[in-house]
Amino acid sequence: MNAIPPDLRDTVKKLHDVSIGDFRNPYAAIDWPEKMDRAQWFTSPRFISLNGTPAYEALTEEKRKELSFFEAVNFYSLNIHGERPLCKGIAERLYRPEHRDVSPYLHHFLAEENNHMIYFATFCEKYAGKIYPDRHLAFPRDFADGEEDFLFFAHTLIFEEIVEFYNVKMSKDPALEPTARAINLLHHRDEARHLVFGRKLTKHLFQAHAPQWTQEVLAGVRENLSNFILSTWREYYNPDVYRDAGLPSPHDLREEAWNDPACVAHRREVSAGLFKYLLENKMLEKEPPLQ
Amino acid sequence: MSEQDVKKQLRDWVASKSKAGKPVNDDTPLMEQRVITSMQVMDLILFIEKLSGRPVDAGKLKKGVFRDVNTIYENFFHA
Repeated sequence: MNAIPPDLRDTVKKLHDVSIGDFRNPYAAIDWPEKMDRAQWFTSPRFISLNGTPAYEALTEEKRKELSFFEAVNFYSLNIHGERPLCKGIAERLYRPEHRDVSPYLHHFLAEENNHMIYFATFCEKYAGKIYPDRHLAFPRDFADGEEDFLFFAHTLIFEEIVEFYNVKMSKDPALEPTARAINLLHHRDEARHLVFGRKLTKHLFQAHAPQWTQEVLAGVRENLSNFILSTWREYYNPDVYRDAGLPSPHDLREEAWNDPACVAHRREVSAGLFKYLLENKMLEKEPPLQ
Repeated sequence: MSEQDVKKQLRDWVASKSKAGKPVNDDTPLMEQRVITSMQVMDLILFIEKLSGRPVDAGKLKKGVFRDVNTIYENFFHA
């Protein structure tokens, strides 16, 4: 499985060239205010995880803005926790025979993911004094041929598709605090290319390997993707955020928000494009439940 | 909360999350029998934090701490 399709080869070449032109120094890309006034929107109100719930409706605007700050810290923390294993996985795949043709772009991918972590971590450490902890654990297991590789890039794609939805919208929100808007914009500029690459490579890997998998392996892969989507969404509802914003019963609030029809509808809206891609390419047979 | 109360809450939580629909005892191997998946561990950690009132440092967890309800109790609730 060393040869890649011509259209993927062309994509790698184009993305490589564009990435060189869009290369930036992560330490000079953002003007970081010495102190941050928290009485601003750091997450667009409609993307605050509690939006639509009775608990959110009961909050004053001042409290909602405070909550929006910790929601941003959670969003950036999740990105850091997603990008760390991503960098490790990409580094391990550089110049493997089956990835030799895409390795020129993997270098950009790796460098850009590292830059993103600098943006996210700087904000979290400088203004919140912390990064929320990663509670995700992966257990070693055996894989069929090509399964681990496919799942690695499919997980990356799923994570980036969801994140990108927010980056695009929040990079254009004039109500957002300028540093938060800049972080979303810079992330979006790179992620847009990562998604073009990820969609093509993931499709290629699935088409190359899935026909050789047993029905049991294929069913396991589909279950894994559904579980990963659900688990990714669960992380958006973080009781640490609600506690830091001074809201009572943060664990109960998390479950209330998760089950609230407005929040379920929001997850469906954000996931729609991702589901379309996964279903069209037979990676999933049905939409996973988002509850 | 007594040991029995904690273990009952853990059993009930696992049973509510399990797709396998199997009965959960204190010594049921949770991961080995795929009663819960690795992707549900984040929720399990949050549930343990809620029950114990203490944060869990996932980065320092050793292999096997979620083996079964007895093991979870010993690792996160036993003084």
